[in-house]
Amino acid sequence: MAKSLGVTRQTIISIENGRYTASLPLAYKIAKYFEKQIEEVFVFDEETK
Amino acid sequence: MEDFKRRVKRRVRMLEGALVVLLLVMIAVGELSGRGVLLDSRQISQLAGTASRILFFGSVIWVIFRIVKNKKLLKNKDLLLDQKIEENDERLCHIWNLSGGVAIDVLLFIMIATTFFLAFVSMPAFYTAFFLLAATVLLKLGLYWFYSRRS
Repeated sequence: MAKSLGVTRQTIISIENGRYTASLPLAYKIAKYFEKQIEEVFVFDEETK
Repeated sequence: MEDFKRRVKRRVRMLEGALVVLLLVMIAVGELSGRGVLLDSRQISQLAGTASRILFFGSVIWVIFRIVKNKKLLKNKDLLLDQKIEENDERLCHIWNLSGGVAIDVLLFIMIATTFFLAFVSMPAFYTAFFLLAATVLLKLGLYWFYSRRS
């Protein structure tokens, strides 16, 4: 998955653990990979800075 | 992928140029020390001698290592793809930017060159440059470690 998205495995792990917030283009790529809408994959948390 | 391959080829040429420059520097320092323009090895402190050798030969080894690594990438498509992914990875770029980015990398390059040359010019100036270099390296490594743990 990481390879097809053009990022390292560590980046995917960090996004999964909530330690890194993906950029909008990467979020699009991830949603496209799962054939879902962005809001189905990512939940916007207003308290997250 | 072809774009990245061209970039790696250009990088190899630049590194080969850097290696030639380093060898010219070695010859120039040897010549100028012999003529008394620069301090020779008997006039510089032990720390200055050791630090200048580590900086110079460390740079030579680093450049050779990078040339070999980049040439290996050009021969292997899988390694080239992995390298491309690593260099373009947005999280790694983010951490690199937070830990000073291009500004601190250029500063490090300037400080390494300055510290090396000052070892053959003036001991007080060398000690100042050496401790500033050490502080910059520690700051860069510390920030990189801190932000890579956080993201």
